[in-house]
Amino acid sequence: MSLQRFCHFSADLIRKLGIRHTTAYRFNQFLREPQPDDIRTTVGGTPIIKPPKPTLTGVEESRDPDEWKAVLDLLPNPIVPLPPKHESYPTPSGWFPPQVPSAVEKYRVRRTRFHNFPIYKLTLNGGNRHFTAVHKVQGDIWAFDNDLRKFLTEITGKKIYTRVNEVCCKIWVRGLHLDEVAKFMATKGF
Amino acid sequence: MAIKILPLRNSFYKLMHRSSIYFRQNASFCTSSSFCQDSTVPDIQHAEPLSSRVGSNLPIITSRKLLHPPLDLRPKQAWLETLSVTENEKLGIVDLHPEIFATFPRIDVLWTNIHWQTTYKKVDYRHEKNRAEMRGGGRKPWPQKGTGRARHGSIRSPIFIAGGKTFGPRGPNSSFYMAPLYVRVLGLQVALSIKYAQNDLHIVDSLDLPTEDPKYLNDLIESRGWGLSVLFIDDTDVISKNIALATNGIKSYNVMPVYGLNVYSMLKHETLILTMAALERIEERLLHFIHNVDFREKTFKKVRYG
Repeated sequence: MSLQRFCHFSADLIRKLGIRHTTAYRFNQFLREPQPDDIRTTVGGTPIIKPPKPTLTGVEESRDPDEWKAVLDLLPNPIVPLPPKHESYPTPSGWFPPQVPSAVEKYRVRRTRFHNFPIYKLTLNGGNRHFTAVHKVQGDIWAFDNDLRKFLTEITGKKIYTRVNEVCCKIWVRGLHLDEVAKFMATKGF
Repeated sequence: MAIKILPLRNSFYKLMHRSSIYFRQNASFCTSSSFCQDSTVPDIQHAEPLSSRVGSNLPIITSRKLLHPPLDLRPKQAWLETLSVTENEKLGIVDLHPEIFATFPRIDVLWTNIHWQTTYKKVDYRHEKNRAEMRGGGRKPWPQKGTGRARHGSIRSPIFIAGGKTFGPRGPNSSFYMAPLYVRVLGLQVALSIKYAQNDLHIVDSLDLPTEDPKYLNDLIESRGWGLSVLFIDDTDVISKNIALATNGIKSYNVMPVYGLNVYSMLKHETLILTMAALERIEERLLHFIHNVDFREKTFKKVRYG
């Protein structure tokens, strides 16, 4: 990192030293933060917002802040909000919030950004092999694996085979047991 | 507690040795106290009023408003320190967002980010001429029959001594690719969490130094045990003269704006110093993308020019 890049130059100094074309000057654009009132209406003399052609329907331009607020209300929210507090759980769709604190301290499975369980189904080998994947398993993943296998063998009555990926914090369970794994997560309060 | 490690590819082992990520006894993520770790906070009631000694009237901050506070995690805490005096004075305590500073240490995500950072800028400029590009070789060297020699069509065919290379490296090839946005965001979270867990993250009020002497900064850092290499992160890319000249003298002390924060630099430097303004900006930007609804990745198509 060159020193020039970070030192504060005044406009007079730039002009005096004649360093308009150096690397230091190119970063001068960052020294002044663009203000909300800076509205560029022309680029080299030609107007950016051109008036509509006379054969087309006329458009009324408005820069009213109240009208803009109404436009902002229509735009989608970029951030996923926290779910509202319901009177009773589970909600009609079957959703319930995580227990705080959870029932287990050895491991934790946090919700996704959409407040759901990180349980996914995988289909490999052209539809012959089905897996249930559990992601974001933090803490002692081997203890989670043991408890999960015990729970699933009790519920399904079948032999449960799992693949533990400790580095990526994922577990693959052979077969489709999405609802059963979700029940296991619910019992642990995740 | 025994941790079973799966047989991994060589690259993971190399990463673990090179970046020397190790978990100290206090920072094990597998025990019950891991998610609600209380840092050892020394008693500050016996100290004199700090504002008079330090020369600035900063209040002792005991709580900081966090954006998008998670319901299932408690915030982490860090000392608010200063660079204006050599002594390790504490101005207060700040809360840190647990989703950013207390994420599970995902070394696979760190590897992905470092691999992306080191690979996406690479361009392989090797180019071997093939028989069409070699100078000469357009004419049949001798007639097909009658000379008693083997039949050839061009002196630049690959079997000739100065001929073109058939399957050599062909032109500038770029290894450009973009790691998914959410992987890059998680990489920053993981790197910051690891720095915090290993006591290598410090929050300061600002990067204002009393002198421009590099020796002052060096003595300050050595007395506090802040590691051989230090990375200072400020909010904007304009810094005061003193810190600029002080860090200019020492190669291992570097200053960066918030938009330059990256996983490679965080692991390259042993200690990470954030200003309060930088902390606010980092949290706001990372939380925006952690809770983002629908970010569409730009599709980068590989185009050959020339």
